[in-house]
Amino acid sequence: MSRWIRMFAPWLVVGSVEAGLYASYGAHDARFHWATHLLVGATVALVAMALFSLSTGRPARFPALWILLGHLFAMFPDFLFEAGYPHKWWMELFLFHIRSHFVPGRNLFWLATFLTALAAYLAVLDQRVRSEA
Amino acid sequence: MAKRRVVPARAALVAAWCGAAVLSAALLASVRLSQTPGDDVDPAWQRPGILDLGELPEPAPDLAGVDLRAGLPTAVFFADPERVQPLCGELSGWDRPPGLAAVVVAADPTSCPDDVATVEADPSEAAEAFGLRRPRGAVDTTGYAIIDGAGRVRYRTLDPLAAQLLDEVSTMSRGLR
Repeated sequence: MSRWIRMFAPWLVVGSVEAGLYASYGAHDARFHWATHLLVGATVALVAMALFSLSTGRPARFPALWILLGHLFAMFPDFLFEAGYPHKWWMELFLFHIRSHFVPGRNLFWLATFLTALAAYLAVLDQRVRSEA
Repeated sequence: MAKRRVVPARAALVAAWCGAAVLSAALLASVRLSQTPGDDVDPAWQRPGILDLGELPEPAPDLAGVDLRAGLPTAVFFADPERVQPLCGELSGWDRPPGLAAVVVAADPTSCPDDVATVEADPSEAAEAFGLRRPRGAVDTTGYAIIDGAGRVRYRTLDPLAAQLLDEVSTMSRGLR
């Protein structure tokens, strides 16, 4: 029982935070922003997790937290916007916060990158980490 | 000795990937389905957007009785009959950025405060001239355009909630350079 709680509790917490973020973007009819930055942040987090696992031979702990942190980093300029700071080009530092909305295919493109990064991370777990276990 | 973490079976990893694919695709579909008549066809133009994207800036069209090239940045609001009164009410208490002029285009803008210029015109037609899309359905346009001191459109959006979100107009107006 406690193993299941340990496994799923972080996902529940992160899911709740994401639901709150989704609702906050909804107030602006801008839910696509939420989806873009979640997918971009998650993609980068998964790549980082794969590199970590490749180099250490261990799975990344708290994967939900990595993904949440990736999302929060990618959307940080939107916190600044709410605080009254308009978007500027230097905010591209936050995982291409602005340009990420303008790639061909838009959110479908980022969905594809996210699923590719997830597949890569799971492949690292399957090959590299399993061989170390 | 450090405890090794167990990697789930390959089938479980594949199942996790499939679950993530279904969940994320469902989330994207829900984002798409939740669009309202106030949403832009191209969601990348939605607020909270930034200035100077895509085909902008472009010269603002002429607006009867208002000089948009007088050197002052201007927020031009387009309001349907239902929303013009709430908008004018909010504009009277708006902590407008210094130097920002405001214009309301509506069929009957008489309820607007004195420091806001008004244009009596069809808001949908005027908005279309500024490049705003007509909302889906038989409703008039409500939204705004932000014009810089050189008379160029720098940002425009449909926004049925413009009256409640004047802070966003302030923020974007401060981004003018």
